Amino acid sequence: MDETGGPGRFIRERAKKLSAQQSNGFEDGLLALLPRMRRFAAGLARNLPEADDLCQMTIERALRSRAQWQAGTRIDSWMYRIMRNIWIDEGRAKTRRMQTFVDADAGSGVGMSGGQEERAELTDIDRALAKLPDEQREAVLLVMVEGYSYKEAAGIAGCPVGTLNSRLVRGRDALMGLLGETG
Amino acid sequence: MTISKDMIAAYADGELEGEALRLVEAALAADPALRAEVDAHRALKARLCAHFAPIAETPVPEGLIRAVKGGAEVVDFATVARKPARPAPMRFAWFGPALAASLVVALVGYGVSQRSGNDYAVGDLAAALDHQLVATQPTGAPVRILLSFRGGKGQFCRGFSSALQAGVACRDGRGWKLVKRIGGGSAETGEYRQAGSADAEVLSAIQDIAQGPALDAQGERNAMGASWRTE
Repeated sequence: MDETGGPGRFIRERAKKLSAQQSNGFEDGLLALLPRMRRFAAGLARNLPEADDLCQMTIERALRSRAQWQAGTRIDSWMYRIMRNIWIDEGRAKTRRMQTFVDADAGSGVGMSGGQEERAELTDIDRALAKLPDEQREAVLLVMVEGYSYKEAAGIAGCPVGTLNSRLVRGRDALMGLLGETG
Repeated sequence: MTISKDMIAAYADGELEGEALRLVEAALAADPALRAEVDAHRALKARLCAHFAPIAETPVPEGLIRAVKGGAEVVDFATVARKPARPAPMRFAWFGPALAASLVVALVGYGVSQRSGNDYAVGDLAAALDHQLVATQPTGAPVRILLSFRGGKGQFCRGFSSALQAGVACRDGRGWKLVKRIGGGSAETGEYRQAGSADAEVLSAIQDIAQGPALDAQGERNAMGASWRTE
């Protein structure tokens, strides 16, 4: 067998190509998802710098755990699940650190991307969302903003559909009350 | 029947179907108050969506894009650094993503049968060699097939890796002959073994044995269809 042009090289090139394809599929999936991830993160985190930190941590964890993602399954719900888990963990740690001196109402600022005249209303939404318990806010965002079905949202939040549904109902009722949309 | 607030909400979210959907639609047609509730749900949804839409439309910060693109390399380098200083850096060009995070967990009690047969695969290993395809094997399969190819006599060979052992087996008249074995016995000590280093040894052994390119998914399916026999 020829030493330099032998089968080893064929196999190596083929495997390299395969591995590059898989890798690109994963990376491209992540890149395409970034705008949506930021939107979800902004709803969870309450301001953009914090949201981008959350995205950064999510990307890092996703890359470390990429072997757990099965090609052909949905990368978006997988990423969302990672993000909400980090957010829950971080949130608990942060709440313990911050609770004593920061009022929950202080966190508003997602609306910074809107025009000047929209800002007042956008801030209202931020404030209203900030008043919801984390799990209700998450349910509202997943279904009403991110457009997931109850079942998909429950999968991301890691709870039964019925639980998700009741969080959503309570969260939405509270928002309607706060924002003056009466049913 | 009365229509609950929850049903109205589920209707507004597009979650109803069948009988429930028809009931709500009928109730809505008859009751303007219910229609107003649906409208309120939709108005809230529209407000929330409009609120967050600009974020998804703004360009993503460069730092996050770099985290995705650069992060992949960093992960691979980190994996390399944890490995024993073995030869074959090429292994990461081969199977980087598959290896990077694969940690094989030793399954106590699994595959003991392999040790009784000395030169031929038996038990779970033989079953994996017979029936498992690279393209479709589950992520956590106890025996992973790394690659299939043809050996010096044109026979089919497959590189494999499990918690117990890794190696190369080639098919002959008797079964899967183990032509290269690496590692083994880690289940007895209950140790965890990182998959990567043994896999790399298997891959470099394959380079010595292989005659021609690795089988692609179709080639593997065909070979399995012929029970890995070559006449």
